[in-house]
Amino acid sequence: MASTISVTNNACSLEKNTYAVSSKVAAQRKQPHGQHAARSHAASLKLSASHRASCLKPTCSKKETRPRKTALQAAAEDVSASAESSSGPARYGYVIANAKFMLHDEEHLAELLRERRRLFLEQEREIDFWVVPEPAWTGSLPSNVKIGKPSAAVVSTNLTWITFLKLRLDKCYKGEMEGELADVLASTPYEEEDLKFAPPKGWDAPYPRYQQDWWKLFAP
Amino acid sequence: MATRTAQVSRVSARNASFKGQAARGHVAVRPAAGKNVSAARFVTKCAAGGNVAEELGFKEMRKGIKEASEESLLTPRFYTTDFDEMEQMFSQEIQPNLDMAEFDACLLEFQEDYNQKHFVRNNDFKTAAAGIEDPSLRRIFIEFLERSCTAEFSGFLLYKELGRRLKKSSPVVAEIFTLMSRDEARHAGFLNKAMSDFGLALDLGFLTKNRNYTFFKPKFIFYATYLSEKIGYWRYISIYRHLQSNPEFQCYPIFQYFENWCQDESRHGDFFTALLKSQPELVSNNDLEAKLWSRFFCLSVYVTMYLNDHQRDEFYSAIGLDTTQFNMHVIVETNRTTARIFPNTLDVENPKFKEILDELVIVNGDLIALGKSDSPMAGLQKIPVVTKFATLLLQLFLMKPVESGTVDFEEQKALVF
Repeated sequence: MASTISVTNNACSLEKNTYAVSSKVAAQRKQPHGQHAARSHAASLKLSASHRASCLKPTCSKKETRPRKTALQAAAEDVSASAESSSGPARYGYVIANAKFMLHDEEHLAELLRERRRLFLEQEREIDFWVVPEPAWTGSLPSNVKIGKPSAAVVSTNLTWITFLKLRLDKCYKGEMEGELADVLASTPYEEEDLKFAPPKGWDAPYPRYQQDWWKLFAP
Repeated sequence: MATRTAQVSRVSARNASFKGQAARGHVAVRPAAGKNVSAARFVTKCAAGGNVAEELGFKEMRKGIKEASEESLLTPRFYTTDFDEMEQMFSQEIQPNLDMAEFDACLLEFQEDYNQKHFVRNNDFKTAAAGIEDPSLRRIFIEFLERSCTAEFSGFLLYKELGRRLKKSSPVVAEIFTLMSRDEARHAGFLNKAMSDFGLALDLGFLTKNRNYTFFKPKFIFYATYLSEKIGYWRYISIYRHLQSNPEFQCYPIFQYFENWCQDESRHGDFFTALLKSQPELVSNNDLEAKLWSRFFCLSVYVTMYLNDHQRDEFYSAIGLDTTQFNMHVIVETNRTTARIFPNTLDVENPKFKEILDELVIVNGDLIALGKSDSPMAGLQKIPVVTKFATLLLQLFLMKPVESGTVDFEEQKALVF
């Protein structure tokens, strides 16, 4: 028993920083929805040093990427500059891939996120991870990264956990970014129908698949 | 109640504390001879009267304690490995370039201890076990629980020893092993308690001392254990989800624990993915040996499951599963998962693959029948059957493989996801 307790304490202290960030994040999340949406266009995202941390090849270590800004983003920034919140940008980790892979084929992702949510609720921790369909910031990804359309990302303030997710999912791109939560969680408009998929070829399971919209529990 | 669960893992860890013995350049996981390895906590006294064991055709070591099933090629094994080689592989002093990011991430994930409060029994277990009256079904339930318990306990022993042995040279990897042994102890203890619902538990302390240990070099431990964790996940989750949608077959409460339970299995597998990635030559796309071993271990794990489960159709039909459909689903999904790390996988979705598996089931049945036969000719008759068996296995092994592996090792200009 003693060893179990010390292990848990250890986990808490490791995540102290994460807690601090996530409570700030929570405060931001309480903003009225309208403002949330308006600011999402002012994507002043700095996608810095997006690289595959787990990569063992020297060729792809730490590739600095150029933040790209669309004309719309630039214009929106002027308009809503005054609406910027005073709490500075936080650092987020993400994994991103095409939505069929993330939200449909990999059903264990649903289980993993539910399990984590259950733990967070039990321990009264602020949820610090989200599923973002069609993230608004895909344009800022490094130019050699191609993500199938529609896309989906899992975003978290816990960068170490994102490394674990990448290890689990493998066939996705892992990166980090700095920005306001609202921007990080913003989606470009999409059709609900585009996020519904047929089961993989030859899928013959003794059970039905999870509901297509399981991920909405984790959407911003 | 949480304390009770924790007790199980603590006690099990203590009971199985053992001293390594140096032998032929490797150290076997064996308890020091003569040490009192009591498994009292693991073993709940059997409440049922009468001679439960004899009625079902099992042997009892003592009252309520089942003699372990005979070991065969198809039964779960206990493993031991070259711990010195393991130390070299993960020592940051010896391997200063070892990428620790994924290990750190695994450690944090295991420290979360998602299932700390999960393995708590309720009163339904005993009632449900009593409700399974048919002797042959009881027998097959006990067998299922015994195999699962032995497999989980085998993981516990190996991980516990690795945690102990790597503590100095690689504290992070060692702590992960220790936390995984925590999970396995919970699982094994929970299964053994379930066995006692049927009146027959295992003496795991006795097993620790007396079972044969198979020696595998570290790399073979990685391939084999990775696969057994991931296939374990797919088996548990498939049974769980099937019973969720067909609750009329929910005849014993242990299955309701499988959803959270199998997340442990999957996480253990992820850690082995990280171990394999840290030794790139073991999973490199350019390494023929790595490819051959990958296929070899996939094949042995899939075939073992297919043959084992097809000998126990009765169990799967009792919980409403079609053994073949269940097995093929598990094989296909495990293979898809495995393709994320192994540089080669088997083409299990090719209909030919299943055809040969089904032939193997028949040949295996013949072999079992000959094994039981008293005829003096049985030994001779076995020769062509064994040859047929080997030929079929070879056919599977030589089927055109599927190129696979982690995207992190792929040389490509554009990353497409």
